[in-house]
Amino acid sequence: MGTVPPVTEEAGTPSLVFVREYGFPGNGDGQFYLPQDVYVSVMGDISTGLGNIFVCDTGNNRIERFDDNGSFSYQFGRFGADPGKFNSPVGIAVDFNYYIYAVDQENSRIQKLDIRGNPVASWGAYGSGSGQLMNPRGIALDTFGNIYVADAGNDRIQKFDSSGYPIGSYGGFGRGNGFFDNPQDVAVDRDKNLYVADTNNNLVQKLDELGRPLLSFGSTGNNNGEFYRPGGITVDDHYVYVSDSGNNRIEIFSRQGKFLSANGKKGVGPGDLNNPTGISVGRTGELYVADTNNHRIQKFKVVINR
Amino acid sequence: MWRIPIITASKNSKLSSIDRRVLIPLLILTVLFALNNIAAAFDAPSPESSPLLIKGSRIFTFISRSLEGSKEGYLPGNFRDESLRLTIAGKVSDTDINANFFETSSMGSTQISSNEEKISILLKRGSTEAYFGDFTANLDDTEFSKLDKVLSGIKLEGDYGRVSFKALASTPQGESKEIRMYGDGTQGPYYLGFKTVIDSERVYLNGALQKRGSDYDIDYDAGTVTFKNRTIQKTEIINVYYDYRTTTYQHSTYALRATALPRPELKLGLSFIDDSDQLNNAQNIYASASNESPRSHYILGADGRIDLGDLLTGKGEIAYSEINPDLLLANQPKQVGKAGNIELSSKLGPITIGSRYKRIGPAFESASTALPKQDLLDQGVSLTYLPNDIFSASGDYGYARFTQDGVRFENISRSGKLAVTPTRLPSLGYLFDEYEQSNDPIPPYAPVSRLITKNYYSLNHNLGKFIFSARTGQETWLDRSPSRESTIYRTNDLGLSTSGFENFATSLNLELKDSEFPGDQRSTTKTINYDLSATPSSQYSAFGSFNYTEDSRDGITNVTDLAYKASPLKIFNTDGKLTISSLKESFGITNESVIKDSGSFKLEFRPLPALRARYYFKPNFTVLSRTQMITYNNETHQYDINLIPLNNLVLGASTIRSLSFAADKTDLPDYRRRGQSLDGISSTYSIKAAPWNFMSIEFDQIVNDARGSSLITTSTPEAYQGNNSLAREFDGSIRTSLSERFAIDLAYSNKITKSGTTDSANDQADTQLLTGSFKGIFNPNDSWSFSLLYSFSKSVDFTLSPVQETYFSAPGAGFIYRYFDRLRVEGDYTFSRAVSGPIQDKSFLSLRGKYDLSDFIHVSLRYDREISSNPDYKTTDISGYVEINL
Repeated sequence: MGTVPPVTEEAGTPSLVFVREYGFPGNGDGQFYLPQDVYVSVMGDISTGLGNIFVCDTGNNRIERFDDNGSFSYQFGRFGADPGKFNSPVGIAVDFNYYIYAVDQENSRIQKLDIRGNPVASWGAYGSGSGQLMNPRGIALDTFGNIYVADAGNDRIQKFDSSGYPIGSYGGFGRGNGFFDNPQDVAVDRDKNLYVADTNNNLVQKLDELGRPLLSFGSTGNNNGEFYRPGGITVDDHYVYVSDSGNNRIEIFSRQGKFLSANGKKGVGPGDLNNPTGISVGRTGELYVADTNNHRIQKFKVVINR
Repeated sequence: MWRIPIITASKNSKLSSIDRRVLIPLLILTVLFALNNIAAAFDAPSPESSPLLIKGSRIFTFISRSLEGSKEGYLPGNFRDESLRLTIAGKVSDTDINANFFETSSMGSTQISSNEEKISILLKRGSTEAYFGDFTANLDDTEFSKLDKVLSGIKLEGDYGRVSFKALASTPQGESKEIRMYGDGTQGPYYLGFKTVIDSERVYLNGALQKRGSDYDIDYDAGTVTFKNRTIQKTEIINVYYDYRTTTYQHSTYALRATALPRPELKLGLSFIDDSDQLNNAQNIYASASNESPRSHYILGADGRIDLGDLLTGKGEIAYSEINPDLLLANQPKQVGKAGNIELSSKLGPITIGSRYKRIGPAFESASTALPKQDLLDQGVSLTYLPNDIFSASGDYGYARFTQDGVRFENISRSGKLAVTPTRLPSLGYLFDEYEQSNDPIPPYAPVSRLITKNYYSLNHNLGKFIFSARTGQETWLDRSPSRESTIYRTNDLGLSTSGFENFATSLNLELKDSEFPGDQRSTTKTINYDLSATPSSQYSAFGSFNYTEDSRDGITNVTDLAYKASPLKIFNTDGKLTISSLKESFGITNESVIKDSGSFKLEFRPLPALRARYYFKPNFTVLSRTQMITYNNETHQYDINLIPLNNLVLGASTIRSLSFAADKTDLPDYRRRGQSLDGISSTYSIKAAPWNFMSIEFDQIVNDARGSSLITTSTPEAYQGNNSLAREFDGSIRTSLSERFAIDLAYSNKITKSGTTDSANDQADTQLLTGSFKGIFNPNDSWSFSLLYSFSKSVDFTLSPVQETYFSAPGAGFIYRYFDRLRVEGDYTFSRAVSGPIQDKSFLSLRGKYDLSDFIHVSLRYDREISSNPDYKTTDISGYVEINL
């Protein structure tokens, strides 16, 4: 998930190298309980220049912020339905104006907050109508501040303007050709193309900005280029990174859908994954993964093998 | 390592945005040149280089909206929005560049104009780095020559092994400050010391971040924080980080720090800081707006560190500060201050002896956050005994004397620690801490003879993949004068957590706290936190979280989360989550303890790849604990089924039933009476088919039916007014592509809306709207496309007598012209007229054009004109959009 997609190095075969991990099980500062999304903001803190990694600490109903060195900065949110509170925050994105957009899944809404977690606006309600949400999960922003939400329960991607007004809806139940089955995440590239983790179809679908299908890739399985319940997706100028949740790995593709590499295996050690979900790529080629069932965030470096 | 300085230029920054746009490339080029020269002196140049990647966009948007007459919801006015985004990245002459600039400005006749800029620039060549824009000056490795302000300007850093330097020149935007204080047994206000920059504060209570509005309020002008929910006890620590401004004069900061390692065991450093106001226009500012005088402030510092192994290690620092408090006056006496410190440590076998001495003269002033303690003498000794890896003991004695806010303090501290850490056995620890105070540390710093004594015992045991921890202790605050009284806090903590299990993780924390206050007042708090997650297989997982707090003063609060996922069969899966929370809730007149249950549950059945059936249940109700009555309910049941019987056919049906009610909150004391209720059903049936390649068909039937009641008479017997609403809508559409050149779309819609103030009446609304439309599209070639539109609608209002039927006829036409991918021009015109009843005409003309001058420049224009009679109005919208990409 991301706002303005960052830049990685020019073409080559990318792979991931483990850098560090954040957190362990618990509810203290810097600890996580089933985190489902991570977002690395293009810009850091206004006052200090640090702190641009945001984590949806889903099980603790809060958002935690870390600086570039992995040190805990602060947290906000707790269980509830009032503005600024969460009931299973599962998706997050931050725009250029330092506004945070959080998918508040069980409250069936999107919350817009300032950088310190003060509520600014919220929209959405349970249902299938325009602007309504059912089990929403991933969220992404394009360069103009439009918001795309993976409305998984309604098998669609909904598009909102930055104030939350619904301005489009793509998909519906089905397989391929712009139809989805429980899509868990969405990403937007610099050309405003959408990449959808079409989870139950074990596909990634690429749509243009009007929602017309361009291509799809993947199939069910655990071989290279295959998926089992992909739960997260992000994109930069060259590559599409897919959190292949059921296979406990991160797969990297070209933006044209060509398989490039698969990274990770199930486990608890450094670089191992256990139901990875949300995923975010930073502007200097660092990849953050919500390693959900290991209750941690892992940071990888995208290395280009020429 | 790349460090990204992140910057936001303030609106009152010295450089205008235009200046910045011009200066950024110039700055980059200038510093590239400088870096080449500086770094070349230390680094062997590398032949590596790559082209500079410059990306960005400039977007200009305008909207002009005018209105003659009156149209509901229409907002006339002029709006303008500009944004610029620029990224420069790559490597030039061995220098890595990563620069980002973003600017946006908005202006409108009905909105406040806003402007925002963000800049970050980093240049790096070898071991030399240059930052531009705003950054935190991190000259932080000394105590007296420290500089940690948020600055705007240039910073250079170089680290060449035995020699390193940092240099900066800047104009600060504000100054950062941290204040740390104890609670005083009240909610506040707690005084921060300065006017606070809006939105800059971060308030922590005992290390936990507080939220403005819900946890505390802040008065930015007065610089005070007041907690909203509870009093802050004397043992609790409040930390506030914030920015403030102190001077109205043009201000600049220059700093240079250099370090050298002449020998491996010796490090020397030298620092110079000039943090002064400028005399530009200072006379006028002083005369017109300020009681403050412009001042200069210089600091010169030297520091060193020596490491002779076990025999001796030490570090020391001396600093000299000079302040001219009024640059406008000649021969103004300067304020000269001195400070120094030294720490020495020596290891003699298992014994380590340490000593420290610090003296800050009364006139010394740091360039960083103002030192809260002036005229300080702080000295002490420490002793550590470490005979082996199992046993350790240490003790410390300290004496401090200082002035704070004009009050003289004298404190003595004594502490000791014992630790036994045997292998494979529990490790034990003991902490003793005693602190004598001459004054209360909370303003107004009343004289007091206070002795604070802490005794804590701890046990930690690592049992493979389990970690067990326990801690117990007592803290006593004994005030011996002016009156003798004591406060005792007893704390017991137990913790257990796992780590390293692939399929299981849990953590448990239990805290019991017992407090005795003067006057035989007591309070107890029990807190339990428990998290559990288990994933025995890929088919099953369960999660639970429990937070419980029982406070003898504030009552019980808790939140319990239970969640699961299960896929016992390939064709069946289910997941759910239930949250139970217990809290106090306002019922308008009374505050009540309530239990809230909310959650979601899903069952999904997929007997065939082409068939999916689902059931969702979302409960959400509130129980009044005192009566065990449900006072609020809002539950939703959803059933849906999707079937793909043929490759090109999708059938769907979905029904959502919503049940809700709420108690009448005037029904004291038990709130048993129902205030309002609603029972609604929403059903959607859809068919999507593509029987042939040239045709797609979609039919949707939507039915929303709701019935409810509202309390209208509270006296016995209560009376309720019923209400109902019904909306039935059928939509059908057929899209065809009869040939590459010719397409026809047909659509039909029939919508019936009824609502009434009783269960059965339709006295509020009873209407029908039938609409049929046709659209023919003809593409004579790849450049041109023409369309003809026609729609006919019938609107019936059954609530009027006689029943009113209105027919609308709306023909229209449109065209699209494309010139390759560069140019696209579109136009539509529709005219609708009521063919019965009163005259109602409406015409709508829309022209849209988009021109891509190149791959990098895009222009878009739009003109919309709407003319209506009955109601009478005319609107004209003109909007434009220019995007220039690099």
